[in-house]
Amino acid sequence: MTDAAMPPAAAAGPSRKPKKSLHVLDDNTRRRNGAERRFRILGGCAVGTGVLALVVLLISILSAGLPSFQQTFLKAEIYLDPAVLDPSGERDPEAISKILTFSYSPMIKGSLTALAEELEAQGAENLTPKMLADMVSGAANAKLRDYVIANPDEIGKTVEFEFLTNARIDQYLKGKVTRESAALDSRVDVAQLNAADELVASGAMEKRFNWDFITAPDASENRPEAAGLGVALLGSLYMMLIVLCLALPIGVAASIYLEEFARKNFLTDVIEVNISNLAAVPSIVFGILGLAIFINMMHLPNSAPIVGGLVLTLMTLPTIIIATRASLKAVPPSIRDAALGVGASKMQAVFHHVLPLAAPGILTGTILGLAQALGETAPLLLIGMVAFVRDYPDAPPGGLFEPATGLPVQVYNFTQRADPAFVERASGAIIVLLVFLVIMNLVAIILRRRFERRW
Amino acid sequence: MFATIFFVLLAVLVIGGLFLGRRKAIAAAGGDVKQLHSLVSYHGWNVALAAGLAGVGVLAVGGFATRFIGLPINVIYTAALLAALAGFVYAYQRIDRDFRARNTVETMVMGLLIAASSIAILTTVGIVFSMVFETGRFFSQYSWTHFFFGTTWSPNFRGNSDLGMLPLLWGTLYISFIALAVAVPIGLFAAIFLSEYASPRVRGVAKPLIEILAGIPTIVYGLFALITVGPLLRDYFAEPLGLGESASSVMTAGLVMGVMLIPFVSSLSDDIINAVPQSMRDGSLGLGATPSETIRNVIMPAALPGIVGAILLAASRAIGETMIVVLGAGAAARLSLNPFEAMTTVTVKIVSQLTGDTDFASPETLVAFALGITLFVLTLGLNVLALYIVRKYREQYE
Amino acid sequence: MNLETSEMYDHNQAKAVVEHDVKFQCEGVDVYYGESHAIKDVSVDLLDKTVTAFIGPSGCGKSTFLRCLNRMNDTIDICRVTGSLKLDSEDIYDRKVDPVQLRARVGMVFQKPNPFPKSIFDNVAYGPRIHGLTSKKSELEEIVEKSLRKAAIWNEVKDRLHAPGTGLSGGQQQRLCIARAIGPPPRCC
Repeated sequence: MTDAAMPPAAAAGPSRKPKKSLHVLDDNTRRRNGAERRFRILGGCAVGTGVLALVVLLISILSAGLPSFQQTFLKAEIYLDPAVLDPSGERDPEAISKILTFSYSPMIKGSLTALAEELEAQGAENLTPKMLADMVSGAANAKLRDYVIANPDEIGKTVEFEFLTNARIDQYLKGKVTRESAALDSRVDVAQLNAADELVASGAMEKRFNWDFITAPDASENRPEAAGLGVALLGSLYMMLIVLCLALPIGVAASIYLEEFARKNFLTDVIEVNISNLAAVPSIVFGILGLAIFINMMHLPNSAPIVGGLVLTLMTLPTIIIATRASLKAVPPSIRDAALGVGASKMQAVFHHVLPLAAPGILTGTILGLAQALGETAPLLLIGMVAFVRDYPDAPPGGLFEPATGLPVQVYNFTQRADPAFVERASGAIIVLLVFLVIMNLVAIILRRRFERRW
Repeated sequence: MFATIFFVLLAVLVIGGLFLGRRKAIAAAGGDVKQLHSLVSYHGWNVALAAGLAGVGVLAVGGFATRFIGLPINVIYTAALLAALAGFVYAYQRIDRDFRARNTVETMVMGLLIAASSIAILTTVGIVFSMVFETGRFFSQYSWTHFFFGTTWSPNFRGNSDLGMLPLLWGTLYISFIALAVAVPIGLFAAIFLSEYASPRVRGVAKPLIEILAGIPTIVYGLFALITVGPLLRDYFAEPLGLGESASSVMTAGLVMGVMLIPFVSSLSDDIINAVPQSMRDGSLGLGATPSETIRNVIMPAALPGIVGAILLAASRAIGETMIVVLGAGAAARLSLNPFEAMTTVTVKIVSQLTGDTDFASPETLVAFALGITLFVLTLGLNVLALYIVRKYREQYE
Repeated sequence: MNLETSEMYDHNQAKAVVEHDVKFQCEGVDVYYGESHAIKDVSVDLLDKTVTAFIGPSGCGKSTFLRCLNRMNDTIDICRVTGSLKLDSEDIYDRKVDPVQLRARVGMVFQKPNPFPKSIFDNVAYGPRIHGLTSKKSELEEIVEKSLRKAAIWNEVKDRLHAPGTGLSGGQQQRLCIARAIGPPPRCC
């Protein structure tokens, strides 16, 4: 026991200065306490800045992106003319789907003209049929066609259909297009905005939740109102499946070898250094690897989820290996000894006892690795996933080789387009991405809480 | 078509092996399984693994070889199937009462484990391999001195391009510098505050909040730079000060990247500060030092090597970051000191040269590989150095 | 196991015969670490210019009690001290007392040697520097030498004052820590 508190007298020399009370702060202490306070405030500011940055980031994305889940529609009655849509009269879906979107135009025009006349009779002043036709999106034909193909029994009836309006009108209802900006814009004029006001007042035009944003495929440069995330979500799902199916078994196998069996030698040292370096290699370099090896050398198709999945697998492996090794290490050696003691082989000890005990940790690490892979963008740009893809890929395994995009790449894609309405779409896509990430992280946290074991 | 047939037949062999191996083992023991050296399931696994590994192995080797000698695909699948069958027959006929099936299975599993670990090496080899050849082709068409020391970057797809890397490198370093100037003080102070001052309640709330920043994908930061930070800086700083009219600028990308790096710096520093032994703090506090004096005079000097390592890792991240600069920094390659001007980086140019229509014979496309290998070497150097420093630091207190 | 009040008291009475001022006056000191009650009702007077030793089995609270004397326990979140501890008849747990100022007057050497990762000189000069006791380099050198001499380590380290303090042997390190604690010279009492 060598602790010793020293009453000051022990060190005091012969000179005795007048006693100062401890209850009075001397100048030196006061000055130092000031410095202490300033230092502390600086620290608090740093934390505050970090939190503030997070808040500003989330608010800016949410405020820009939430409106994308709503879309403006124009309601009108439309007579689905059997003479045009189903000349044979057999309601054969195949025959109906042969009718081109172009053929729907006169029908829509008629319906809008009727609507304009009806509203004029009610006292609307600014409406002309042409104006209504201009306000409706160019994608409305295709949407109507999809509806008819899905509901062939409605042919010959008059139904109420919600026509997608174009992006300018939609943005006007969301407050992003103003009369001033419309005056400078060739794709919308102030008269249309006045008309939109009247349509809203009459109840014919309204905003509602838009499922199509989540399920529909991408749309062309000029039709931001119709663009959706369907193909991107499917592509991301496929890539995550590939990552899960490859990275988890390979990562776990590699970790078991390195943690349980590998002898300390040159080769295992090289592997260890390799893994920690791979975790820090810029993601774009993995993109170059994918382009050169998987596409140029192995001739796998461009833009395909299989290539994206392989590249993301290689990127996720270090994360999974590091997490798995940590949870293997956390299983106490006594468990291994116990198994070996009853005559199990080393391999049996690992697979029967250590691995099941480490499973929750491995799973948590895998989910976090997947979350990281889901948000990764740069490598996918290089393997052609920025392409404009309108068709959903088939179900796996065939669909893995068909073109698709991914959620984060779709965001990038939206930002590269000229129409300002795509900014809203990009932010909306980010919100969808963040929702997935939050869910994955929550699952990881719950797993960790539920199965956390202290030895 | 061949693939489907092959995999179906392979699955039949594998699953068949599981059952047939088992049956033959039981038969060999005369119904008394205790007579066997290994459990019956190991005999089944032995046959299944032998068939599966032989098939997949030959398929992989054949698939790789066909790149060089151009075998027809059906030949490869047939050979692989025959190999699987051979593996099946070989393993099946070896089954008898004393056959050590467990040891054989374990050897095969061990082989699989080793193969999985070697993927890490293969990846690195693949990265280097994928860039070295194309870089070689690039330098055979374009002088390396012009590439490394040229001060103009103006690719021209009709030929006669200037492909000097310096403006890109300058943009990269400038943006990384701003990012670190934001992230290092904030991250370090945040780590100090959270580990030395904050009450458990404040820590419990603030720490996860800051860590959320680390889980946000970079494309989100990129969009944040594009739609919020860029216009804000342009309207309130660059234009009033007469420094430029561009929303994408070095400052935009640097600030946003700085925010991205805050949690990275703070969590690394947090680990490092916590590794300084408590006795060191006690010693200083016991002498009458204030906590801030203890941090500045005792903890920081002790933690310095580790923190330098953390900063190097952050720098390597900043240099390799892509999406934030693609969306926030602009595409114009220039050597300028004005932080409100748009500049571009190595990563942006890799993306722009390799997306869209690419012709893998022209130097304008191949330059991306040279840029990639430069980036790889740069970040690898920083990582190795940083990991070395951090490891040395850890050893000091273990 | 806790510090027994009776033992402390006996030891104290034996000393009380000699004429010395009471430096520390402790009455009814209780220390709690969260739920656990580490020191129960200790009362003891520590005299000026005397060496007082606390003896007891390990874990009985000797160090905890010592840490109360310069409020080192403040640095442990869950630690709570009640009772009265007076230095020169001033309550050191008074709200007005700044623990920093108190610790400048009540030095402490710990069980385990804990030299800072700095040079030997800087280790000893640390106290005088932070308390702003000197402005001149020569004065500082004087204090360092004096402290090292008092801790009986001067002869061993005088030639390598700028070598790192962590490079010394265990015993030397502890003496360095003692020199460090008595570094701030004639403390006002």
